[in-house]
Amino acid sequence: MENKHTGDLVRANGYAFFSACFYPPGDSFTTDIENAGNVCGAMAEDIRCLARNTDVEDIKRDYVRLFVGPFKTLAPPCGSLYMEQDGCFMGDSSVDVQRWYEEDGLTNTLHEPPDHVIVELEYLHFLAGQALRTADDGRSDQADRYREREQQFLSLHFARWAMAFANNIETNAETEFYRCVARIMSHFLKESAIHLPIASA
Amino acid sequence: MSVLEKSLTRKSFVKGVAAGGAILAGGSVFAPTLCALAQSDGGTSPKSAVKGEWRSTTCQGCTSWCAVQVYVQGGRATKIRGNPHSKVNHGNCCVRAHLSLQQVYDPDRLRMPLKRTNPKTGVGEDPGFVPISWDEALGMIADRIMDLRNNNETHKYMLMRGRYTYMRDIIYDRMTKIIGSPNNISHSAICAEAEKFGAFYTEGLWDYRQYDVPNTNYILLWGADPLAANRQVSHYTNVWGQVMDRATIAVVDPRFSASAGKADEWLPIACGQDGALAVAIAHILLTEGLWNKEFVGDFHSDSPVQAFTAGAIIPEDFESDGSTVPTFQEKHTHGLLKWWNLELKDKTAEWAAERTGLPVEQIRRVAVGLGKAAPRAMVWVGGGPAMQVRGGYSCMAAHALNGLLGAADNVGGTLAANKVYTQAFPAPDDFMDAVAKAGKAHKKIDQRGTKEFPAMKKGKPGSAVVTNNTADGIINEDPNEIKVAIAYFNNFNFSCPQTERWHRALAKIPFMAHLTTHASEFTWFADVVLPCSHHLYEKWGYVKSHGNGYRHITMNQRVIDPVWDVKTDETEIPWLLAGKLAERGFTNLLDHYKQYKDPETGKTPSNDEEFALYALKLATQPLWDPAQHKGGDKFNGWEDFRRTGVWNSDPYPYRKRWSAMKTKTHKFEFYSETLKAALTSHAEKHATTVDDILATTKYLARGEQAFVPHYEEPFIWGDAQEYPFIHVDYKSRLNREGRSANCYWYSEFKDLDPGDEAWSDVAKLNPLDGKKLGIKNGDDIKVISPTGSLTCKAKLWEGVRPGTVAKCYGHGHWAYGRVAAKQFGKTPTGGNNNDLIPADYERLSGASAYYGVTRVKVVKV
Repeated sequence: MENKHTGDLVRANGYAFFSACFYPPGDSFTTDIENAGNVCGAMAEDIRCLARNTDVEDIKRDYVRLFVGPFKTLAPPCGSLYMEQDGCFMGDSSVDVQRWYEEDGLTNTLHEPPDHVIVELEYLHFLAGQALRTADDGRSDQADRYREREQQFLSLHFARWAMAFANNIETNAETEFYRCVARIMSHFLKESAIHLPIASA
Repeated sequence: MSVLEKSLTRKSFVKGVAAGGAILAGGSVFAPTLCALAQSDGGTSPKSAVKGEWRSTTCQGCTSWCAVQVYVQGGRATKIRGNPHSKVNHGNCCVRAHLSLQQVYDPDRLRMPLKRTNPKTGVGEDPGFVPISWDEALGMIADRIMDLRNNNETHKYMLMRGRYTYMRDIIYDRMTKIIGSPNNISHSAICAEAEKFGAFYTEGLWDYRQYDVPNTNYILLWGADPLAANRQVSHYTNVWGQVMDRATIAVVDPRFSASAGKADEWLPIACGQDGALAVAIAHILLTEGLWNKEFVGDFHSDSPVQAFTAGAIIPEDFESDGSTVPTFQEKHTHGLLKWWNLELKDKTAEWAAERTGLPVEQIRRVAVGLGKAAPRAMVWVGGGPAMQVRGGYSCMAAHALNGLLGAADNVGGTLAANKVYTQAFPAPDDFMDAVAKAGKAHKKIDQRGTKEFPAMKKGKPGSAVVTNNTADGIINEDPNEIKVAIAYFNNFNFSCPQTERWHRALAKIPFMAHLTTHASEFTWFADVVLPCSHHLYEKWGYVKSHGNGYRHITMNQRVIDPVWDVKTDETEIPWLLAGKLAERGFTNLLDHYKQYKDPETGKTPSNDEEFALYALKLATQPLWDPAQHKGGDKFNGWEDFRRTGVWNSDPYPYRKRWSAMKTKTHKFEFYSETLKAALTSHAEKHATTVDDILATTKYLARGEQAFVPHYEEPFIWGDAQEYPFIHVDYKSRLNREGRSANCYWYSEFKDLDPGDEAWSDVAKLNPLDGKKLGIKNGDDIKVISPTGSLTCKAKLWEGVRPGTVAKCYGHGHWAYGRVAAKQFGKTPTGGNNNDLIPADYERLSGASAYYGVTRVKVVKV
């Protein structure tokens, strides 16, 4: 129980932190990253350090090059761009992601497709967080269902493209900040996959 | 909320996460914190559960402007079809409409406002864009406009318009005038403006025509390819099979076009010799007695001359019973004998064959075929003969044939646009202060109306835009420098000939904002970039189009909720900018826009979205409001009109314009009093003669010949020895206003253009020429003109006239996206024809010359 609890917490906080990393950097970016990574302990330390020590204008420029384009997007940030033929936004996989959210009574309010990395990571945060909350509430069956959903969502969606996405970042980023985010996120996802506690296990 | 705004308020999310962790340490329950996601209110059905439906809107992939419908399911656009309610395209849509699905969801689409950080601009200078909020972006633009106003320099503001809807006056006219500048520059001169020259200076029609194909027996398509590109492709493609069953179709084009593939004859004319063919056909129609008597008239029964004979001048009148009587009694035309005497009498088929490279028998066969089919015969003049340096008169000569055939405004002939009943927006005059009036009085940056650029729209010198010359005006600061520019739905440093001049011009402008859906070469030079709504899926507006004997008004509608935080170029952005100007003390623009009240409720717009919708309702009110109905379709009200998506005019009133044309004589003018008046007016304004004007505008005609359709030897750049081929440009059936190149389907299906290849950009040579040069299919070649070059693949194809190199326009983007550019920022996929074509003009209309402009040479690389 304690292991599951810790695992859920680490994953919930981790997903939230990485989601924060993919927002367009505003002028308070450094503070945002500092605060978001606060609960992630050592995992976030390198990233937070780079956020402190990199010129925010360089980070902004790199963000646009990697995730926005506007000419050629070097690390397209949505699932359908990797998983579907011709890779456009709002593919069938994007609609499926939307359905997942709806099943949990959620709606995407970000001005991006439902399968944008920010939103998918936040959804994973939600699932891990719900597992934690319902477990703490004494509803362990419900907690296990949330963990199953988290694993299914990863295997059907996020994990299917996250590595290619991270690879695009590592290959094309000009700032060590984003390279570091990609590296540590990849590591985090691999670790989470191993340790995701499922009822059937 | 925009992504950037979300990030700015992320503090709450971040705080929540941190707090969650902290609370947990104290033993309380963790609660996931949401920022991008939100709990549904439970009231509305989930998007994915909502049944799909067809929603009406408009496609602007070309200027057919078809009424279409989009199947929207789960909030997503998935399919396109024609809107069955339109009487113009009647449920049909062409292939290019479907490419829009790959545009609206293009991974390289512009998704948030951006700001340049690299202070240097140039082809090799990455802009270094960073994300900014809408607020900051609009504030930057407003600051610069206020600087101009405060320094009485508002004439140094410029608005460049690319593709528009009829919401255009809000940004193009009203905003420019109220700020106080003369410099609203449209794209018309790079469109097909010279084509209107021929129709205006004969029958008083400064417009594109529609063609009564279901009722015709002969079509002579002249430098026009309606099965591929413009105008009303969906309609013509759909009915063409029936047309082929009843009519003879002949196509004049140096290359074998899509329409040539569905025709009876192909006339592979030598480039630039269209005028020769046209005057020869006129000569044959007259000498064979095949002109249409009902429209044109006939010889006076007592006239000693009763026929047109090659080489023989015909006196315009004769003596009969002591009075002077016209030799020829014209009915609905003017100046036939003048035309014959000045130009046509010696222009035999043999004479034309020498110049056009066409067989004498073919010229005769087509001329006689037309004549025998008249009046149900038409000469369909496209951009081909018109958009040449000396294209004004060739286009006029080709169109004049419709007068001889009695096809103008007749059943089975060429028709104008039916009457429609939209209304104009409120006038700006009361909102133009002294600064604005003074600024507006300056001369325009495109130099229209100067001696060299008569640019005579509808007979008025200096009234037509000279789009491509704007670059030179900016570079030379003539008449003045440009300090602040806004441009929308355009890409002039790709779409205008001799593109490098635009690179220099754009680098010179200190501040430029580009409003667009997709970043392109033009955006590369921008200081601020604003993401815009896609015209087919996300924008409110309307356009008008005519075909099939009708005109329709079709609305662009917001059929999906935009995924990204985009705004509409012509309405929402001007409103928001007006708000920023008001914050800075200049309220005139916002005060003006507040006049655009909702015609249904009388409500004043309170935000950009309301403004966009009210403006559309206002402009179209006579169409949907039963109390204001004037003609055409009737609706119960706005919602009824909106759901249908399109209004159709009354049927075409054939022959209504006979002897009521908007020419000086009200007749179809073979001797153009209208052109005479226009040229004389322009000459007088510059204290010179018409002959001097013609010399200045690169024409050869002198004296009276200037006022009749006549043959001009083509003006083509490059020495024939050094540059042995003539360049032939043409348009693709897949081009969506030149911006399809980043759609996979564009490349995958490129061989829909006859002779072209999928996944490649080819320049086509005739196999005879290829053999001489030792060039094979697939070779990498460089095509070089006196002013530029491009690299692409070679294709040997019989559908290309020997001595020419035919290449489609569309490829050659070096800054567009993952598919369009081969190596982004460095190497384009294929080549842009405009890198080859020199900046030259048909100066009487101001139009850019694209066809028969330059010679080229070809080398292997």
